[in-house]
Amino acid sequence: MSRKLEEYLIKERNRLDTDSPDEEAIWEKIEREMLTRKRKPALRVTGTGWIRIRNIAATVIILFSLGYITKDIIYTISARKQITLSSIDSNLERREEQYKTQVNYRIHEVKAMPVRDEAIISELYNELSRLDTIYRQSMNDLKVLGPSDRIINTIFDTYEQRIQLLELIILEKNKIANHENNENINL
Amino acid sequence: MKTMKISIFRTSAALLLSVIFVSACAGAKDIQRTFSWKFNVNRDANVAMVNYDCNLTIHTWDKAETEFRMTVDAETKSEEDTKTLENYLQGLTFSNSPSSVTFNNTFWESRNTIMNKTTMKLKNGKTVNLVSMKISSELWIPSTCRFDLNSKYSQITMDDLSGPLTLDLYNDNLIGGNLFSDAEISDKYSTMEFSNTKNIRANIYSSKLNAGNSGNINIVSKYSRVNIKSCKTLTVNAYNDKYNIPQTEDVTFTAKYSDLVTENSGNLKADMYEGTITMENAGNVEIESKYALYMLSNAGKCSVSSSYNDKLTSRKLTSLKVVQSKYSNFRIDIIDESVKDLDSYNDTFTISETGNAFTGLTLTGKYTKTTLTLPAALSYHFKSVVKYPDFNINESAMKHISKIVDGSDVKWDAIKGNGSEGIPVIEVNGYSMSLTINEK
Repeated sequence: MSRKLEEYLIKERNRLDTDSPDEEAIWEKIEREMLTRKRKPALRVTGTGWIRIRNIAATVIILFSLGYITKDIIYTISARKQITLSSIDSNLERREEQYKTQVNYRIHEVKAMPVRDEAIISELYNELSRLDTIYRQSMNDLKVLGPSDRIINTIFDTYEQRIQLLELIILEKNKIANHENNENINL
Repeated sequence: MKTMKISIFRTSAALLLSVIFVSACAGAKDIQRTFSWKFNVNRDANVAMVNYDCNLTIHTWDKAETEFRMTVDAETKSEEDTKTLENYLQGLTFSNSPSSVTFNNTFWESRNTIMNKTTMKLKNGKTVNLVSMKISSELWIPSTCRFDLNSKYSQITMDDLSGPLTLDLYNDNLIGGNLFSDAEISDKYSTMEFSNTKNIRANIYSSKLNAGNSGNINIVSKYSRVNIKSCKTLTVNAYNDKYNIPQTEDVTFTAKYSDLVTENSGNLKADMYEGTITMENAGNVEIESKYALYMLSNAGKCSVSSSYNDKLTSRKLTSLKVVQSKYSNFRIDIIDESVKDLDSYNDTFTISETGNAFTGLTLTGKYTKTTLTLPAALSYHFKSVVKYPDFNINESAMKHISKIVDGSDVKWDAIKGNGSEGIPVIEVNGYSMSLTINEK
């Protein structure tokens, strides 16, 4: 394609070269442009420096502000947030998980048994909810005092009591079932 | 150009980090100071102490004055915080008069600890930031004063006290001396230890209470352990507790899922659900119970108003009288006087030996199995009205007064040995009753 164009230009050069450039007008234009260019660079160099300084200052101010705002937000969130054993120590987290597993296992066992509306079982459920209150209280105290062995022991104690109470619920439900069996046998 | 940009960024970052580091570290200061307050009071004044997260030592003296010393060891985040806290503690006042003083070491309105850093809002509204804080206190009180202690999360030691004591504790560890007046205790999750005490009235939850020789003890407890060397009367309302008191006078034990162990006790009144009472020597015993176990080595008259699925074992009882029983097991090595059950259902009675004062055994009920061992030479009067009886007795040794067999109904009246007045009476009435009489 470019070869064809080249051949065409060579062949038709004489016919195409009819106009000559207006040299005066060209030099005038060049002079004008050079004058304009001379003014612009002087202004641009000074402006860029100032802009850089201004930008750095702005960045620093923004970083500071962001830092303060982030700190403030984190602090407020932490203050509101309930402290957990896992946030204190990974061993405590592991121990709590083990207790939770045991509690959940027994809860499943209790749920699998028939519902019994007996006073002794209601009393055991009341004891369980009382333990929830103590657990919440201990968590609040942990927030006030920070990590404290006494509080942590109380928290684990509530888990042990929960397990014990759930076992008693299972025992009581079994007792009722056994009693019903005994009565049926005797009838 | 690019190098310049990196350099500017690095300088800015370094500056920023330096500012953060300096602001975090600068100004931290320690306070290590003991503040003290002293008041003249009557010897029988009311002295109250509110204590929180602070190791407290309570001394008693013969002076008519109180003194409170609080040692604060704290690290604050700034000089300003240090001044604020020190000035505040210096200006701390406690309400006092010759008849009463109240000390309180919870000088803050609120406290919040995050990542081991504490923000404390003081009661004057000012806030201080603390890196750490430890408080310990010492209190001197007249030994005869009336002392009220309210405490949480603390280690407490206390001298002998002659005046009355009121304790309201939560998760403390209290080691006390002798209490020469009565004490009233309300506690959760604490361990309390006293030398000898007078009367104690307590409401405890998940606590440990240890004491020496004590007066009358009246306790409402849950999930607790009580060890007392000896006490006068013992009144307990327990839930999931363990009591060990070797020496007691009369005992009233109302309990669920709880155990009591004593060596020598007075009379026992027990209302039990699922638990164990073990007594080496006891006076007369009254029982109302379900799913409980009784191990009474030596006891007096035992009266059971209601028993369900219980087990009572005894080496020696004066007598056993049961008003109503179901699925229970009574095993007595020696019964001195008599055994009686007015309404028995599917129980088991095993009596291995009778004493010289034995007057007889009377059982009325259904499906009950009884094994009675009597001296071979013992004369007794045997009476029975039973449908479906299962008797294993030596009929040949008996003189029949009457024996009427009507299908499954058997009415039997006989005498073994010499039929003189006042001989023991063995009487079994009811439905499907089983009786074995062994002789030795």
